[in-house]
Amino acid sequence: MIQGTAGTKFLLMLLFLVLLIVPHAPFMNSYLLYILDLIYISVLVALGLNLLAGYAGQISIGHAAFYALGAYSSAILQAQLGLPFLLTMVLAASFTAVVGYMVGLPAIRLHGLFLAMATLAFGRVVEELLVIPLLEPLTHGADGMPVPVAKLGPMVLKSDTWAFYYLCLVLATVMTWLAVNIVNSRTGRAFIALRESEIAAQTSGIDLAKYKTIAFALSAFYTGLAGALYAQAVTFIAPDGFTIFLSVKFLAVIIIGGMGSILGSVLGAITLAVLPELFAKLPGEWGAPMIFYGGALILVIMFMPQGMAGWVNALRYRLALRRLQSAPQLAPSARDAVAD
Amino acid sequence: MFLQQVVGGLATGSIYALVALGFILIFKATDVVNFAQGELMMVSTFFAKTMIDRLHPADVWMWLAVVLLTIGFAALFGVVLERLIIRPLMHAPVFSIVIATIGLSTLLIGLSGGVVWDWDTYPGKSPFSNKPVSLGGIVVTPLDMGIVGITLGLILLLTLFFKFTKLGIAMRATQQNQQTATLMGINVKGIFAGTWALSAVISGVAGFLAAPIIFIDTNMGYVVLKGFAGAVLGGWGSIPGAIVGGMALGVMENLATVYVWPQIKHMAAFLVILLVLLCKPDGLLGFTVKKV
Repeated sequence: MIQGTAGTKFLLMLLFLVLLIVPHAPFMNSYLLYILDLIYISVLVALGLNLLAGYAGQISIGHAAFYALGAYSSAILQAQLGLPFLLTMVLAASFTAVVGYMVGLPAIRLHGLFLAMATLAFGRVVEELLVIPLLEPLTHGADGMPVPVAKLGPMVLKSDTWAFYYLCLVLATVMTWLAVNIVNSRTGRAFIALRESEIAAQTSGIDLAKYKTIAFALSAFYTGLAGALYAQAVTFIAPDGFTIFLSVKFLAVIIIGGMGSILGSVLGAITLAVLPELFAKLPGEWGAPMIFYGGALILVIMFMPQGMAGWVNALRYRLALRRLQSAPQLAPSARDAVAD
Repeated sequence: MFLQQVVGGLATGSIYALVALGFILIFKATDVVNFAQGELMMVSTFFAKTMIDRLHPADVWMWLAVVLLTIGFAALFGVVLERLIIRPLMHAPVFSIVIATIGLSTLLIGLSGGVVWDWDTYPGKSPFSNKPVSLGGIVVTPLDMGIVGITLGLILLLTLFFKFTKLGIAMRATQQNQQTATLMGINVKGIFAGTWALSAVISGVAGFLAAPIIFIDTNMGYVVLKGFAGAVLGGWGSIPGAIVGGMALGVMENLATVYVWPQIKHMAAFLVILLVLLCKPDGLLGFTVKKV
């Protein structure tokens, strides 16, 4: 991996500035703003899932459930207790993280694919819970529930307001920065170690159960936070929006973007954000989204397993190599660093 | 009442057992949990439905023809999928193969609903009647008896196949150790394809049997989750465990509906997974497979 240079840092700053100014651009309208909000939300989910699947190596096919828990718990707290959104958002994400921790608990006994199956089962249980009559006063069952309009001081937090856009932008940026730091920390290295070989990781003193549950809780936190924001953006949530197919879409985002790559999470989220709008134009009975996402998962895994992040890394590698060739007097240690 | 529920649960339990068996066969041979197992079943069941609609089977021989056509189709389908998707990934990490099967499951639902068939729900037809008969105070339908009977027959056939045929023994050898099996002159790639075919056939039969109970639609593959729960309950990786666990789960679901809470029926399976995984991960039969 080539470390971020001054050049990339400059580019990132520039990008952030552009994103700060963009809602005030003359071509901007409320629909475009809504799409941008969804991209930031999708980045959060992708980061969460990538920390779990891409770094810690635990496949989850139940992430729609965490998303639903975030969305519902935030909306219910607002509707029932009248709490402000910034608080319910944090509470919802924390609650989802606790649930994620509990879902990760069987990890103490399980390895590999069992856990994936357990997440699938978890997803189904949450789907059923959302429509269970016992909870209907809170969730409104299969009819779905309207999400209360949130306010931050005098500003309304809706998908077409600048306030909400900046909230999403700041959260996406902070959480990306956080993810980069987690990945480069002791915890992140433990994740990667247990992904590569559980036995080898254990041999080097990594507590598998601890780090798997941490990975689940962390991933659920990201996804729950995204769910809370999503509820605000769409203003209405219903159980049929949180099916297993949504979990498959989340997986597609990180597979297409690049497993085990923060950059990949962001690229995947951006690439796939516009698709729902395209598919909405096709007749529903064609089943185009399912064919696309299913086919994409298979083809990407077969032919470009590193996803889009793989292209970027290849490009950076080639650029660095060219720079080396034009400067042959460079010390050998620098050459090794690039080839690493 | 209690016995009635137990007998009623055995029929659904048989289907879970067959589905679990399909899972376990692929898992044991290739170390892959096939997330598209339910969709293998769904596609075969749709195929059977199309055949029934075309042929209008009336007598035993026509039904037999439909069943054989479905089995042939399922086997071919399994081989084609293995050849197109799984074999190119043979040397990829298991993780990648699992992702591919998740993609495959979604793709098959999309193609079945959007291109080949449609999104409607159809009642399944069966050669067995649905009229209840009383047997010593317990009410059963010939359909339930047929499902249990065919399942037991199929399991017997499979046992004989694995014990006494050359192919069956080669499959078991491959399950134990691929390298040694290769050294013994077994065509491991062929065995993989064969395993997929066998697993698809079992799922196809399960779907064919299940259709009158659970209806035919593109979402019917979800029943596989119950099969998985059954396999976990019985002891993951063990063939007898899959059968016992599947049957037990069917019975438990029925009992829970009556004695605990009616709405728990669809959640019971998943609660069972979580409970078993937490309390007794080896399952009822306490049997774990450790591969080296």
